[in-house]
Amino acid sequence: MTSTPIVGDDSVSWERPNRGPAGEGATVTPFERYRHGDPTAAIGVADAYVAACYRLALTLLDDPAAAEAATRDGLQVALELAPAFDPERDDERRWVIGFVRRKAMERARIDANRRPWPGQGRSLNRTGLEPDAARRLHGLTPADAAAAVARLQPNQAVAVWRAFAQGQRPDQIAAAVGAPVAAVRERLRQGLQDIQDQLGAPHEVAQ
Amino acid sequence: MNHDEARDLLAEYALELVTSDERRGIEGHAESCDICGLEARLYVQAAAALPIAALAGARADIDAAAYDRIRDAVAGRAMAHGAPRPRSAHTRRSGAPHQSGAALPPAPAREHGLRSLLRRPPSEPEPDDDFSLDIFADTTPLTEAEEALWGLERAWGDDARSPAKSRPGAVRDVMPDVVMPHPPLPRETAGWPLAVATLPRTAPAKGSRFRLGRPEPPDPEEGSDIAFPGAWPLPEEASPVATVPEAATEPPVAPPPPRGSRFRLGRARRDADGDEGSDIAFPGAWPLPEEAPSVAAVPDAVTEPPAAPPPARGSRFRLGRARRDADGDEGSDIAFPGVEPVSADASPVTVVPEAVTESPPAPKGSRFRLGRAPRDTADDEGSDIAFPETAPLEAAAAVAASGLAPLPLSAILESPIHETEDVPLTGSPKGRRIRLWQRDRPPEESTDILFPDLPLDAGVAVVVRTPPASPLADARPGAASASRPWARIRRGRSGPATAAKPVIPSEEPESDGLADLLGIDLAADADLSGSIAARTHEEIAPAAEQALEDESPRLDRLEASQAASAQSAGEPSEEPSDWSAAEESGQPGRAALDTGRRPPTPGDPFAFLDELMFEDDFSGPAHLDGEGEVEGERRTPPGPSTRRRGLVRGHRPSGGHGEFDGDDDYGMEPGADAFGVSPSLGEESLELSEIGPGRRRFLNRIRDEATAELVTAIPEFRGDRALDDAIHLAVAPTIVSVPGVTSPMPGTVLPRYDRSSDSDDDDDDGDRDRDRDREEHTRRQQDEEEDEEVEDSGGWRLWAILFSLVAFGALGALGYTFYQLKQTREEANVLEAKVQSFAVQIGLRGDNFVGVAYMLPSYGSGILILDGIPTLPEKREYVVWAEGTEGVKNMRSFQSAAPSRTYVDLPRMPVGFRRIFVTEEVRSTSGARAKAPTGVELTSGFPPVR
Repeated sequence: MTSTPIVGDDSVSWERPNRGPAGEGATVTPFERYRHGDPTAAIGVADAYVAACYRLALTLLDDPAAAEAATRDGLQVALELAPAFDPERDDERRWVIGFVRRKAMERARIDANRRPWPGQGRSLNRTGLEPDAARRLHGLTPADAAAAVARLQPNQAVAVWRAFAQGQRPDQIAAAVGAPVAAVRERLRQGLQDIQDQLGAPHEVAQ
Repeated sequence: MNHDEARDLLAEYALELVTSDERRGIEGHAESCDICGLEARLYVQAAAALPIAALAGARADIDAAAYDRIRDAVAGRAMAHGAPRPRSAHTRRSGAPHQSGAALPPAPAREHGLRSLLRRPPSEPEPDDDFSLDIFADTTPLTEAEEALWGLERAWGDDARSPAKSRPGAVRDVMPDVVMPHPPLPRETAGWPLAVATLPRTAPAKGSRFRLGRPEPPDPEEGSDIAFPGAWPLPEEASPVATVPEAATEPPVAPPPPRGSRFRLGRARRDADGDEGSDIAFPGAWPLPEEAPSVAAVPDAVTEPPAAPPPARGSRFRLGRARRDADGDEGSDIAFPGVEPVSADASPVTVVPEAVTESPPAPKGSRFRLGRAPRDTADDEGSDIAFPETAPLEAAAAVAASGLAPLPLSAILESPIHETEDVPLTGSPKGRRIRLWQRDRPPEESTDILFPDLPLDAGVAVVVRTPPASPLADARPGAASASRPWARIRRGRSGPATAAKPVIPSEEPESDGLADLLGIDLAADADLSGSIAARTHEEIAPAAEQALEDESPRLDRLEASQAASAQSAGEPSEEPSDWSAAEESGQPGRAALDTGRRPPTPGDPFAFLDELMFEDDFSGPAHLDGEGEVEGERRTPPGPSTRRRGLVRGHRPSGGHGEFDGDDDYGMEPGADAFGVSPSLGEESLELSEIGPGRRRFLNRIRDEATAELVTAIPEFRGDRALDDAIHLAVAPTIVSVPGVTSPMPGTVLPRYDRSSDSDDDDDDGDRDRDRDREEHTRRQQDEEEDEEVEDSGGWRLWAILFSLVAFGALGALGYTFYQLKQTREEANVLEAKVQSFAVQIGLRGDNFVGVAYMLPSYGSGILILDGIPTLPEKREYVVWAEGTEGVKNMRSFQSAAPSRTYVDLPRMPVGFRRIFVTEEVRSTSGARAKAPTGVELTSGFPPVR
């Protein structure tokens, strides 16, 4: 598997999305423009997400062709379902990248054992965020998020990244790193807890 | 899922690594457990930062060419589709207003279902995340179809202003947009277009039937009917025809497709455009039970059928999975239109186009066995299909099996080794029935052959089918060969090379066999009274001797077998044969007859017969040459039948001098034969009791006529007892070779002519008359008894038929009942599955009770089911609140129905519905509904995020 750096540089010019429901100082993203009826904004959406999604898919699939296909399919689905996106309840980046990640995970599992995994296709965005949490993520930059991940302990970072990018469950991670399953679960919980601590608890945002 | 289990899986839940069951369990627990709920939201938010962190990567990680390809594919496809369509208010279920962009128009709604299918070019793949099968009202105008869809959505309660809602029972009558659950089709089938059913614009009824076939088949009977069990309400008279898109012609290539795939059943390579055959879509959510094997589409069977000649209409095919199992008992029989011969109870057959097409150009009526030709050679496999207007080809089949050439029919009829009985058939089937005997074979070996209307020179082979061997047959030589199902084909007495005799014009076919046997050319002279009578005993005797010689091999074998059995048993045979009975009754012994010679008994008046029959140089007695007295006694009315009757009368033992003429008691019954005595009815009736009275009369008639002809032809023999016996021996095989008769030996059936009764003693006339009357009376009684037996057996058959009908009817009723029960159960299952598929479940959990709200996906209506909610005191009530974007709204107030389950009918949820909860409120005395919750919140639930 190709080792992909967890935290990259900030050279990517990220067009910051709107920062809140009121749209204070908001910059309309290409995705928002496309969602509201501008088909030419699809080019901007592709420019914004292709590189990141391809890296994510390549991390998961370790196959450039498969990663390219997963990226293409995921982004196409994201644009197809763009009208269903609710900015009040979810984050755009998470929403778009989630499709690519799902496509990559499906392809990885299908290629692995030719058998769909149990929850495949049942839901695309069932795990939604609360409005306050989504509001919290609106102001999160990729650099901040990467920094939060980078500050994890190494074993926690490995577990979290394997679970996120490669779709491995705790038993698979345990088999890969040679640790008990319970320990891997604890690392996952603790890693997510640490990330959340660095980003700020939702109740704090709510207040 | 309990608390510990849920908490262990919270991190995986946030990272979307859990299965659907685990996810439901966690969400259900998190709704009632604040700790887990808070922790889950925390983890979800943390995990949401991970994809954002992934954006902080270097673009250099991706190849420029790949980047351009992805960018072009994504942007190009999105731009080709144009701007997303605005989403209407009633289809927007999240309810969130578009507040992010100040000047932006409302967000467009995504296309789905049939609309997206119709708008999307067929070559482009369908997004595989959310398939739907939309059934709409019409195919021609798209706008009306869309209106129908929108009307359906309105009917389901999304739009309060919809006229459909105001219509009573609108929700029940209108067919919903059938959205298949999420993984309806595998990813490999993403590019396949869905089946589009053309339905009438009216609301269809349950249990309608669909015809799947070509859009415009030339034959209206083409296609397959598929009845969906009650899922879609369609009227029976609608009977719509499903159209199959052209693109659905390519079956899946590689792996066996899972449930829910669509298959094309038909002959591969039949035509170029591939629009033939039937498409059957197996919806993944429907009738197949879970344990049913996946319907693998017979790609092999479809592509492997022989490409050569297409099977004719009416063939039956087995559709199933190729190489599924060894015994091949799986699959379905499909009778193509135009088929009628296959009966309902016919066993299923495999596709045997070879058997149909390779069969020889046999005449109509051939019977074919359809089965797996190369699979095995057992004859018991397959099904017989009888083609109409046919006749048996057993003869041809036997000839083919034996490798012998067929004989002309005339040769068989005239073969000296066969005794034939040719009966033209006038009913159905037309033709003739020929019964064949062989003299050198046991009499059980005979056969009836039904020939269609064949000319006499038609090539026909005769196959003797042996009936079940009787004890008598077993005791005889050749019984082993007689047990074979197929005997040989006889061509003549000296072997297969023996040429058949020339055809005799059948002016009098009933006497041809006998005439031929005796060498008398009956057709040569029409007036038998002159020419035949002129024949002398020198011409007759060799023929009679030849007849005896023909009988001698069999008689010798019988004698030898009897002797052998007697020797082996050490005592006389215990077989209660009629041989000994015949000897005891004074009739000529069978043993004596078997040898062809009578035992030399001192003073035997018949001793000279042996000399007569077996001397090489035979010369008859002098008195046999005389003709005058015969001429004096015979009366010859014109016409053959009258002549025969006259001959018979003329040979009456009582002298025949005319005193019996016109006496119907004697003249009308041929059985009281030419020998003047009743033919030992006691013995004969016992022996012939197994055959019907009609056949027995027929045999008697044949025997009497033949005997009468002989006697008439040789007037010198009249009154000569020895010659009568000789004639009797010559005639007897014709009479006794009856299948099923246990004592068919020559001489035992017919009594010898009692010469003493032919004396001119007038004193004995009275006694003889009384004896004859007595015998005649006895025979009539026997005939009446036989008729009564026939009537009795007819009554028994009637009862048997009635009982069979009643049993059949009861069986049918029972089967119909089971079928109805099964249908009802299936419909219930379908409806239940439908409810589970469409309803949105929102779990609620309180301190002492739990509840589930089942709501329509549009939240237009629903029902709240609460278990264990306690009863409130008076002046207090429960209130269901729903929280939307415009605040909290009072949905319904109710009282607990404890201890039973409480059902609360929920109205439409408010816009932006995001939470439902129950509070305990004080009941207003004025009946006004509370505007805002004031009491304690007992429980709450959250709708799933979409």
